[in-house]
Amino acid sequence: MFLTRHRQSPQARSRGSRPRTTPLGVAALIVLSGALAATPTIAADLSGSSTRVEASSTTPLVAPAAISTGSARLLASNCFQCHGTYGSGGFERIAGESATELYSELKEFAASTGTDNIMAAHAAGYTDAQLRAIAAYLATVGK
Amino acid sequence: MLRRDFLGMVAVGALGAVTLPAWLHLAEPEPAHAESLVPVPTDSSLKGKRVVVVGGGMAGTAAAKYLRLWGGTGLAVTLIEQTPSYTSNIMSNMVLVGERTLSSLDYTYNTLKSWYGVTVVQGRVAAVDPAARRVTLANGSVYSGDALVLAPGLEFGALPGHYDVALTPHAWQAGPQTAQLAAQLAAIPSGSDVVITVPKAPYRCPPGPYERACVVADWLKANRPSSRLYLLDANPSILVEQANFTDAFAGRNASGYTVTYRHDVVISDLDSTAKTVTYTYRDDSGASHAVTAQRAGVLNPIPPMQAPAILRNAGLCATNSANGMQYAPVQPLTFESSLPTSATNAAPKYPGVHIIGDSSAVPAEWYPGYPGVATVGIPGVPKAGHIGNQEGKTAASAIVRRLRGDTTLAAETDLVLNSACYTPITRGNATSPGTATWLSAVYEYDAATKKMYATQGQPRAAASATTRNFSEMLVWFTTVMSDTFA
Repeated sequence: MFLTRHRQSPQARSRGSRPRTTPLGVAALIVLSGALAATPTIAADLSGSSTRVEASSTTPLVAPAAISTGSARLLASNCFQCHGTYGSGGFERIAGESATELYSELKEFAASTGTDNIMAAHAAGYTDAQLRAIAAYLATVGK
Repeated sequence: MLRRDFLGMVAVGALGAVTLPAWLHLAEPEPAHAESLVPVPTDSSLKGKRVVVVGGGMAGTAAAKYLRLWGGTGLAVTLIEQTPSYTSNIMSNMVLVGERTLSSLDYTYNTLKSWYGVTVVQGRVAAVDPAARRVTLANGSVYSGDALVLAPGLEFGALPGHYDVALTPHAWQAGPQTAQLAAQLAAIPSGSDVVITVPKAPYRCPPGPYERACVVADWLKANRPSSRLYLLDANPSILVEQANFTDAFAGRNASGYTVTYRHDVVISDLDSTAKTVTYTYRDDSGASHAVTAQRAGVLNPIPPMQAPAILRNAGLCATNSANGMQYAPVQPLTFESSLPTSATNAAPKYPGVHIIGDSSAVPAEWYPGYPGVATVGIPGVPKAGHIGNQEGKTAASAIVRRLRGDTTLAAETDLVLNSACYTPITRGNATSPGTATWLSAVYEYDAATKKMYATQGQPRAAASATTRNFSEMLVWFTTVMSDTFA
């Protein structure tokens, strides 16, 4: 509910010196290494889009090997302050949802201009690999 | 809702018995109940191991809960806390203006004890021996563990002149002082001013003083329209949410109140008996002005704050150059003390001693090139409840991984700490919402420098104060407290 009810209008999104996600519209979403976090990269401007970002059906939504179960669990636990312990409620239950759906929602938030959307602000702070790991972890809760 | 009665817990527990893959150790959350409790997994692999947690605030309580959730029934967890229950600082400004009761902010350790199986000891820690991972209570009893988690919060310092906290409460630790300040406000004579002073950062809850100024000014406008609110800030500018607070202070808010904001304030005398403040400040052109004995009807000095004496006396702290206060430096991956063994040996002096919450100092910076990096915000991970909860989880995760023999933690690169809050701009409650904003900052770990960095574009704030944000604030508050205490 909370994840889907605030769509942002398409606006140019200014990026500074540390872009955190791959450009939208690439056919295959590339899993970025966690090492990106420590590596300065070139500036890039991305056009935000309200179009849903669907993960490719050929891209398995599994946690990258670089992200262990331990860190995926801890990364996902950042969600629990607003979505309840293990994602059980709060603004919206996210536990046990499909990894593809969760990842798509998170990518959409991360790509939205989102100046008035707190989930956009949160999602923009994680690397693509981290968002995948969070989605994959939450999908396993209760399964 | 936040605290279940005993029968409710039994019912959830009965439903919690589900078949799970052995590796997952997770119970299925109860779909019909947003705050269903997750059982501690039956797992005796850490039998014989013990963790001692000092301090039952947002960080310490979350650490204790998640140590059990992630460590399993075999891991013994003891929480030592002075008070029988916790009073939330979050939302406590609403008590000052009569929108909430203090008792509505009261959280017991009942669920921690009866559901999560944490041993809760009510007592005051008198001394910490970090080398032995041991604490001694005022009554002489001694506790030690395979890991020691210290989350004692903050101790409040003094202000120049004739400052007496008994007469002019800060109410920056919710509790009796909150009630005292609320009573002072309710009794303020018409035409008398409210003066709030802000210490140099870092202090607990960066937006908190500005929030307090807003809701108290809102109250004054409705109840003492000839009174003014002065906010005397030791910092060079509003530290967070500049646009939203600048708007609010200038009268661009749902109630039309105004706040007289002064920055670069240096207090030379604060007299709690006379309720006067003598100080200098700079205007926006940089010109300095002196004010002698400004009189207040209610004087609310927020003093500087630092790690409590039990941490300072244990040699766990270092002085922060920005405000001269002491906090315990930690390394972000585990929140273990980062103090080196010696000048020539960088190995941690106190392995297994973790300091979380407001008394810790987490190395953190803005990314170079962040717009306004020189003038905006607080350089460092903020001292606040939402991120304090996450610090508790981070320490819990690191401790459990270490005790399980996981050697991959040291090479971990994926640590994120999320700080978030909602801030009321005008008064309200669940049935009659006011307006609020929000603030978010996501910090990521950089393995090269072993520091946290605010990620690109952070912090971010709400575009404006809205009633929708106010309603969301109540959901956030309920949920973050539930994730900590229930």
